[in-house]
Amino acid sequence: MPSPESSQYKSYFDQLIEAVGNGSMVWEDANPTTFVWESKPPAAKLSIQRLERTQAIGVVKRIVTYLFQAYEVRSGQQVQRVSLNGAEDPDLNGQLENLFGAIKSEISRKRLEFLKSILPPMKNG
Amino acid sequence: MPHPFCSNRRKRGPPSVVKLRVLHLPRLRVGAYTCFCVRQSTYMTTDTQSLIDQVLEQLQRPFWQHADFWIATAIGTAGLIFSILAFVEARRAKRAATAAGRTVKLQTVTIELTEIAQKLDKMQPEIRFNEARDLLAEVSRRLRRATSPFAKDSELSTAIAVTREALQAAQASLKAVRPTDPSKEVEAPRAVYYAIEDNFATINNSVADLLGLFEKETIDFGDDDAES
Repeated sequence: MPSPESSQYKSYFDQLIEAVGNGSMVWEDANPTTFVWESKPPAAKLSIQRLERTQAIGVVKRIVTYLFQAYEVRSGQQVQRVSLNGAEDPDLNGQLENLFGAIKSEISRKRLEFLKSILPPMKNG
Repeated sequence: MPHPFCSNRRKRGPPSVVKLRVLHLPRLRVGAYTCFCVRQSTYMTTDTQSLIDQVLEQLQRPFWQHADFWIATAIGTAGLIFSILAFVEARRAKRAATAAGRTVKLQTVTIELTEIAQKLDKMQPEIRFNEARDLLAEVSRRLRRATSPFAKDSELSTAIAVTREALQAAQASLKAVRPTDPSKEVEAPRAVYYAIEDNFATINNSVADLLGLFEKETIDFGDDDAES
């Protein structure tokens, strides 16, 4: 059963995923596991980060969680307003995983488009 | 044939009857033989015969009935016992010296681990990628240097293996947040800290476990091996 927090944010994340898919939100990768989106003019910033930790209880287990954060930008200063950690809520973590996957796919698609755009024209025959 | 050592020859002429006795002295190996040239029943006095009998009696007694045999045996046995005791004590002293040396090394490692733990405790959330990389490199190097002599120790090997796995996990998590563009690292504030926080905590816990084990090891000062 989904937790109240994940239900509350589910529709928001669905809208984010849709916005990523239709290109209205262009995310950038700050590092291989962190994606950032800034509103224009910059008044807010969103970031999602994939975290991986190793748990060694009996057997070594790798646990992947996601961290979603929202910042308000005031005169160049970033003030954190929202922080959602998937490690605390498995349902929320699933939604964040979907969002992260959608952003990653979109970034990969754009990279591929760029690579294709710089190819010389192919000679037919 | 007259015997050359017979003193009676000059006085009484060559002995008409020569009796040669060869006395074997097997244990002492002295005097391969002794001879007595006597004119039987003429020159041998009762005292001489008695003395000879006593000598023969002494010589024919088994060696274990001689007091000197038991004295030598007692001295030899005592020497052997003291030699064994000296060997045992020397071996104990060697073990105690080895244990003392190990204790000194363990205390040095304990100090090193305490410094590492304090360094990990001071990690700030605003840590940058290059700072985290330097910190991890230093912690990794010092930890491995301190624990590698004990990697095969039955009491410590498991904790050391866990620590090494934690170091590898931290390196992987740090690699995952290498900035795409170093000038834009601030765009994802605290991303480095969030990425390495858990794995650094695991390292810190492993270091604490190791500290406890090393401190436990230093409690044994080799008392079992040495006597005061």
